[in-house]
Amino acid sequence: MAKKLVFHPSRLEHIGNIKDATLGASQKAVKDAADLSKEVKDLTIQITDITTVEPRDSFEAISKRDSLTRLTKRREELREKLAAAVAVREASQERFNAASTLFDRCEKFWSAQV
Amino acid sequence: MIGDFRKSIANVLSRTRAASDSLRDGVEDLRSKIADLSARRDEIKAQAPLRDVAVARATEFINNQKSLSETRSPGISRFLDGPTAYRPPEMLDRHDMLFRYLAPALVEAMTAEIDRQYETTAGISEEERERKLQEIDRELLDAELCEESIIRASEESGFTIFRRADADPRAVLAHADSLP
Repeated sequence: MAKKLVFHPSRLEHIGNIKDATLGASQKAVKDAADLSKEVKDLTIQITDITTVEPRDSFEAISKRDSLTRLTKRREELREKLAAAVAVREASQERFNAASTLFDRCEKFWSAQV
Repeated sequence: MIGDFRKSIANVLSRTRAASDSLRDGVEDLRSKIADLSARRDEIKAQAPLRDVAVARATEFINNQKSLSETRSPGISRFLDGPTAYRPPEMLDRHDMLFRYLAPALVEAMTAEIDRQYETTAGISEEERERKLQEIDRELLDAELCEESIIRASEESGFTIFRRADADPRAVLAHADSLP
């Protein structure tokens, strides 16, 4: 390619904006995963509480069994969501790291040009 | 009527997806080419020099060691002292003695070993290395500029293709007029 390369400051700004956007996405993914993790923990506490209380009659035993089934099912659903959220968190962290590294390299290059 | 509209939307969606896939495929091809060129660049950088360069390096190394050994090991005149003054040196560094007195033999042995290595090793002159590296660098920059061009086209179309952390800043910061 014989064309002479010309650089433009708006490109550096653009790369900076992408870095900021990936940081925002990464922070959101961290929060989402933390929220889901807390929900799973809360449900586990609820399940443990229900399990440790002895039912006083058959009505309570049925109610307890229903609650346990419902909460366990809900916990499984949340665990699946959590696994997906953790994957998103890792991917968004990687994207931010890449964007950040690229921005730093571009900034350094730009400083050497001006 | 609604059926036609749905069909039309499905067609647009299909074409949009195809365009998006095509952009991604283009970037993947270029990234693969960039990775190949980078690997080739590393190979050329690591390629052995010409045989004479290797021999010169070995000779210089031995001669430097010989010079050092001459300043460290005891002067030979100590062995010429009269019987009353003569005291054997307490300790002689074996390496110093080796380099001081056997340097030519070491160079000869190392040269023979280098020659054996070059029977299966292709050496490259520094001019040739530089020429090949410049050629690869030109190809690399071209590929990086094409990649950046596709990424910008995808950004303008609303598709996000993330840039590599090790993308060339010359391509990433290039003015649109500089891109292919």
